[in-house]
Amino acid sequence: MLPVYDIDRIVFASSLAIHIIIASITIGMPFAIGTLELYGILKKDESIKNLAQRISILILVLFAIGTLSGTIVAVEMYILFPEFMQIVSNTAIISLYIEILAFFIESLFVGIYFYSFKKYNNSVLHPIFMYLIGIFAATSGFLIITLNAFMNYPVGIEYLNGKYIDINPYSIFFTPIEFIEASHGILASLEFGLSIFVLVISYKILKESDIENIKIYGKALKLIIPILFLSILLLGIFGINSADTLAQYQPVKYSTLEANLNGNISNVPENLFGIVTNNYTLIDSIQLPNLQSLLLYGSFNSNAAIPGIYANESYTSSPNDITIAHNSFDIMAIFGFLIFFISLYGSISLIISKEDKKDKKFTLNPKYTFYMNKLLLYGLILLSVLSLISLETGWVAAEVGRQPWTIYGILLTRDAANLNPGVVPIAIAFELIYITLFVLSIWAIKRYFINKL
Amino acid sequence: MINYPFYFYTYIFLIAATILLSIGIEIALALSFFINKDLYKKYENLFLSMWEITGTSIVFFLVQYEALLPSLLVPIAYSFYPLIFIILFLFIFRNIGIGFFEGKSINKEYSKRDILIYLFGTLIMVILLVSILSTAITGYGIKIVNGNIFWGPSIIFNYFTLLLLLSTILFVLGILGYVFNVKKFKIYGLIGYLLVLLDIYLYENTIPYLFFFPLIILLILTFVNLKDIVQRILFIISHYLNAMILETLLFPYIFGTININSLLSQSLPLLSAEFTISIIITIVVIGIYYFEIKTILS
Repeated sequence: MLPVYDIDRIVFASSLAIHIIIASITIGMPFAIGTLELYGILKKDESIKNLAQRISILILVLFAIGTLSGTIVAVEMYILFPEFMQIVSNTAIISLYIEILAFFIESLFVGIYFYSFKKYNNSVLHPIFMYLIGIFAATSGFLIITLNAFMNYPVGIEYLNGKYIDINPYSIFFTPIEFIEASHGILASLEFGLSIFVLVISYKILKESDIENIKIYGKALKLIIPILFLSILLLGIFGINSADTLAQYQPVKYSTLEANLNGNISNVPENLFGIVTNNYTLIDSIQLPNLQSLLLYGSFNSNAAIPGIYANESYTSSPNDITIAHNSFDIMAIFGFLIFFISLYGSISLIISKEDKKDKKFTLNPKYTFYMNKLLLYGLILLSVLSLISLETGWVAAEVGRQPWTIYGILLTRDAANLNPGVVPIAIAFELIYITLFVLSIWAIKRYFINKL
Repeated sequence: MINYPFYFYTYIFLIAATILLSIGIEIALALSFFINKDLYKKYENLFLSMWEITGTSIVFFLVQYEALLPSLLVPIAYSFYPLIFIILFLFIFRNIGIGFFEGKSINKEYSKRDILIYLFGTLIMVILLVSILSTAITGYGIKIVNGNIFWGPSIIFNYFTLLLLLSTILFVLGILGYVFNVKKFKIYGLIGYLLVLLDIYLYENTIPYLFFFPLIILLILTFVNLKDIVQRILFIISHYLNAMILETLLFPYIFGTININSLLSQSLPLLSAEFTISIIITIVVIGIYYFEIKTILS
């Protein structure tokens, strides 16, 4: 039987896993829809403008579910980890407080956008409202990740009379890891949201038989794929920088993610996958000699030491946590490369292909009309699935990699959690119902909204 | 020097009043679907968009509560978790329904059944929220032993909560009268308010004279014909005035006996930052909401 705090973790993690999906879509997709609508208005292209407005209904539905999943996360974070929220309330709550402002503005612009189709029919203001939804959704995400950065690297607080209190409320915005962590997180959400838009359009093309409709969808892909590619490129750059920042400011977490179990040593191999045994040995992994040193210090023969875990230290992650964090990290990174190559192929095909084919065909030839190329369309669907897995595994790596701490060096997860055993059956029952309803919602979104686009 | 405990105590009451008002407007307009189709059609867009304010205000209430009372977070989490999970479940029920409902509404595809499902989830949620609010005011139905909070069904089944629930129902009908000018419903709002005064009298053995100001406003609204816009503004003023009078009466206590002055534990810089941001939130949200309402009703 798992301890109560592990059940708290699992319940909260499953709620957050759902919320990340919805929140990321509402960060990324508004930029795609806004761009499409803006193009339609500026170029007087009614078909594209109408397509943008039809797809925008998805944002409305997802925003309703996102408000719900966000509220559930906020309430569960408090109910399942009250000691954590108590410390946050005395120290870092300012980011949550400002997040409320961003959330309010986002929610108001959702209303303004959806009830002003007639009033701002051909005005560029209307797509700007959609951009604002995305911008404030991203701001909300930025502020939440700021709290997460504080959990990784707590600053600006003091231990006084038996409790932590804040001495500089705004210092959480200036931790050395803030910019990289928040930018990386927001770019991952943006990329995933855009990939879902591309998934919907690719799926519609595969299902559609009317060539005129396919051309409209094709035009939408042509507009959005470059933005998607750019976001993937930036995500990669920030991802690589994240690893460097981790090694510098969170060496223990870095060691966990890389499964470096032999202390600080030089000429370290890149460990791919593997299982950490109870005596902290990595088995069944693929080792690429010296690659980790090369990636971190840019030299095969660097004598600089790479951070590593000393298993006999206090508060070391459990072998299970290291296994989960390390494998999640590897999956995220490898899928990140695959995503990049698919989007690169899509971008090249978009540039060099000619728009003259009227039959959908499965071909490797990038010159074949890109929106008629089934390989590319299935590839784009695969890209969004890989993006989803990368998003989730990236987050698992980030959170499990910090264990056993909830706030690093300050609050252990087992001390943060609600240890009342009565929570267990209620929380599990609630979570099962919630997950079931969420799956049903996805099915209903496809049936009532995507199929009717 | 700003009295932060008083300021945040007032602020949280005003957020609760906003939640009550926005859910009240939602339910009133949902009811109009069954009793006054013309009214429903006229304000359909307002109804369909209202949940966004309700949902956001509920999250704001939660964050404000966390910011105001860090020391109470642990005992409340340990004791109230079943009730909070039930409210969350109803929130799921309502929001998933309403999301599809609003999405379907773009093509005017929703039905009476959709509205009934929404009403069911929302009404039960309101009953539980009003019961918690009532308990936070009076402390009826809970026991505090060695810092632990115990509660039972009597948080709902006590005279104060039951009267408050009845007056809430009448308040919703009153909204139809005062906000949407369906004259025959105004009297229900007035009766609802008189029940609130009775509730306060039973609890305090007196009715503070301040409550007569909102009563006078409601009497004018009920018996004098005013322009729609004047009527709405006066009603909203009386609503928030009531919230402020109530909190002045109750400050600094919650659950009837716990003094919040002893619980507010943040540093001065943090309280000051929260104060500044709360002012910004209020101004920005009211400004954009005014623009949204104008857009929706135009």
